[in-house]
Amino acid sequence: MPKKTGAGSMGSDENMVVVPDTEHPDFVDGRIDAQGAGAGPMMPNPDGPDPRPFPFPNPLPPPRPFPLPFPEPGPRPFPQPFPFPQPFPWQPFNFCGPVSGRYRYYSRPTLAPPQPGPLFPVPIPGPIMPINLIFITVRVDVDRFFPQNRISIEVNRRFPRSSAHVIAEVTSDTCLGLFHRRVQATISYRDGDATLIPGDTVTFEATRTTRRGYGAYTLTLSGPGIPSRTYALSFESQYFDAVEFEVDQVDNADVPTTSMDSAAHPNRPADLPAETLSFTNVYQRAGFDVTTSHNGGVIPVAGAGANGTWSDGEMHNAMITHWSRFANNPNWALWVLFARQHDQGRGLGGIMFDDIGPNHRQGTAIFTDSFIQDVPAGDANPAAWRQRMVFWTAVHEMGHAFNLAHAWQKALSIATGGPGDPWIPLANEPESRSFMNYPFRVSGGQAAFFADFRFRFTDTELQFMRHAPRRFVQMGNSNWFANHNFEEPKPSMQSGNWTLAIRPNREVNQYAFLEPVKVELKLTNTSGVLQPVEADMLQDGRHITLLVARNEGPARQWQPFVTQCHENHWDGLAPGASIYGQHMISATTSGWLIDEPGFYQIQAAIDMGNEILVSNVLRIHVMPAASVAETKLAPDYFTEDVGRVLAFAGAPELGKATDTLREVVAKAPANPAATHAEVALTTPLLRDYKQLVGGDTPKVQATKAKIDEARPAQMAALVDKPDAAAATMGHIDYFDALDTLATALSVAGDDKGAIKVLKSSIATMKKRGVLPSVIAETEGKLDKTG
Amino acid sequence: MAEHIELHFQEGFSGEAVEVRVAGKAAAHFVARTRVQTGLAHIEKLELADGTTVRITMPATGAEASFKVSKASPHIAVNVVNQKLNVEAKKESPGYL
Repeated sequence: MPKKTGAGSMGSDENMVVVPDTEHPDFVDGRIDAQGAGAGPMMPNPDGPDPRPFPFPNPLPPPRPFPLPFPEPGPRPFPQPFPFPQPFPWQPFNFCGPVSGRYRYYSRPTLAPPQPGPLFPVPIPGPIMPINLIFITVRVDVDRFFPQNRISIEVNRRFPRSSAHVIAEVTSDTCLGLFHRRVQATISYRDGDATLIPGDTVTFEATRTTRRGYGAYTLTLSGPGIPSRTYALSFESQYFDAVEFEVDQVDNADVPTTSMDSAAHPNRPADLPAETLSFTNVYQRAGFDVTTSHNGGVIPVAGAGANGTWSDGEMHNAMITHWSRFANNPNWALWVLFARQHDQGRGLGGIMFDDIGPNHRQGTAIFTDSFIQDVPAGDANPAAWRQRMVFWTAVHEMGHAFNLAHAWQKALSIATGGPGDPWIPLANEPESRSFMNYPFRVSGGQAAFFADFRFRFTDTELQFMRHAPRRFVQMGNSNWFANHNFEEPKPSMQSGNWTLAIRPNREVNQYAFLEPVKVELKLTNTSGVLQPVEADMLQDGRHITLLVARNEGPARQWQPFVTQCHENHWDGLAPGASIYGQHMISATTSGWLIDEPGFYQIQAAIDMGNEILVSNVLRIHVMPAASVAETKLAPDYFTEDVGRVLAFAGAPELGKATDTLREVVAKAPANPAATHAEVALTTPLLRDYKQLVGGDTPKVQATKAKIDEARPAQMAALVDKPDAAAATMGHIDYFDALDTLATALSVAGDDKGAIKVLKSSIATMKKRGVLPSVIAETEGKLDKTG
Repeated sequence: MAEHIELHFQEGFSGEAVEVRVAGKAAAHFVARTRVQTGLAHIEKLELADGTTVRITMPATGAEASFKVSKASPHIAVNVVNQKLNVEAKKESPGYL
């Protein structure tokens, strides 16, 4: 893939003319209330500009859009000049600077208290972590740009691990004295463990200390019947989260439009300040601390695919190759690509293309040869219109990466045919003047839209971006358009013709550390009539969507190492009959999904053509390492190559992975993983094994079967402890392995050995309740061998 | 003379089979699912004579709608609204973002 060039040239915010926050009509400064408490010198806010002039007695501060006394009825027009200056004599007022932003509370490791006990010397206690170690993040949103009058709180507890998130609506906001502000709010939204954030009332208080301005912050949780809890907070930022944008350009696309002059086009709100609008200040005003990556650059068109237009898959691959921050995990970072045209043609102006793979919403694209360049006939300033439309489109697509839906799709839910539910009940906003509404969809078309557009998101969008549980918003976290990782089966969506079950072939859903997790899928015809079904529906991983989440964290999608391309072959499945498939789901093409001790949730879905069938949620527990040897093996074991060797039951050409599995057999023989390792190491020895050798002039070379070498190892792994082997390998793989072994022995002339294997297989099948038809098949093979 | 007609199946489709019939004969058959990033499910391009009657049906829900081809408005936006098919002819090709 050709490398991009010109790193650092994209998305520069140099030479911008930006109206200072405090002079912007959409900015809400601090608060001034009638004085009822002591006063002192007014000091700057903690993250604000340099100290402003002391407001008494003169000069008076210029008219600013300070808010009216809280609460305010109805929508608040901007700007609203505060009623200064006033004639003498002075009416006393309290002045409080803005407090919006992000605050943190950390519980600190503490020394263990003196222990009563023996008088003889005891070890001096060192720092211990309190069992309820918690981290609290508080987002206060009552002033600065587009205040939403919300306080949201995230609590994460480490031991035992738990988390909670609440959003509270502000009920009072008072400036009690000079830089002494109290904001009270009532909890209206909860997510997670409710016991972590008890009560229903949240009080945030910022006070002046001996420092200039605010110096101390507290959060108090209270409610009827519960003792109040107060936490001392530290101020972190005036922004609610930090995000990084990286802008790339394909070399046959127009230069990226990352900023625009708000006054260039005559059709705009009369009071819209003339300034440079950029990705940075638009998203800063939405509450994010924006940085622009210096790794943006120009991607040679040679890497753009032979046909010159872009598919979503090609853009996803380009993102993996060219985005310096790409990682398969949640990240506050976003890749923005300016390309010439999408495969769909000029009708697609931009797209958040990244609903591919396990981590959605990391990449967006804007197409510079598309209809967003088509200026309406007779427009007063075509160049400015075009620049504004491209800029608007880019911010719009980036908004999708924050998981924002279109304005007219906000109410769309799974029940109404959508791919996800809104995070809270939402109403559509088809006439909103937002980056998330199409300008040409509103009444009066684009001209009406831009006449009243203030280059902002709506309040409901800002509430989501600033205060929703962060996994809903953060790029690469919750799936696009969904705010949760797992869906319980929705009876209304299921036809009742089928059930899909996911299960392990063991009594207790517990696995050893290192042990590959194999699950069995069972699809049953529950319709009462013969139903057509694709015969390999559960065997070929391409039909299956399977998600794995650890400790109720973000879900990651399992991808099979191999899928098959073939014509559909449909079989009739009788009423009550089932088909089965088994898969090793610990590892996927992007690494291991199950590689740490803890609890995991697993759920599968298959597309039956006319319905999506969703399985039960399987919960499993992975135990901690049982020995130091297991811990030491882990770094070499949890690699993609070892996953492949296990998935394919052997791959001798992956030498390092094969060596690692030999170490597992040698150093952790009691771990069930040793059974998998032994099978993977010796199965290739059961047949003449073909390998591609020869480097530049490759040729196929077969290595002779080594039955004598494989026999004892396979017998020990599969036959000597049949129940343990069947439990860890799963029925389908285990009995297949026995069949392979028996066949190999028979071909090598060892009928006695083959018979022993088949008899063991039949006995184990009967003991473990395998279907009679499967047992009969093996009995038939035994008869022929005997 | 045949006109180039584009049927834009937009909002409200969630994986249903859609059938397009022209003069009583099946002209297209596909599964439509709205991609919410763009608000578009499927574009079907047809060459039809001005005045031809086109009928769109969704067998699974029974929803159906008909329209006559007009060369003045060759772009047909089809949306599912309240479980009914809503058809709107447009002069300009719809754009998606």
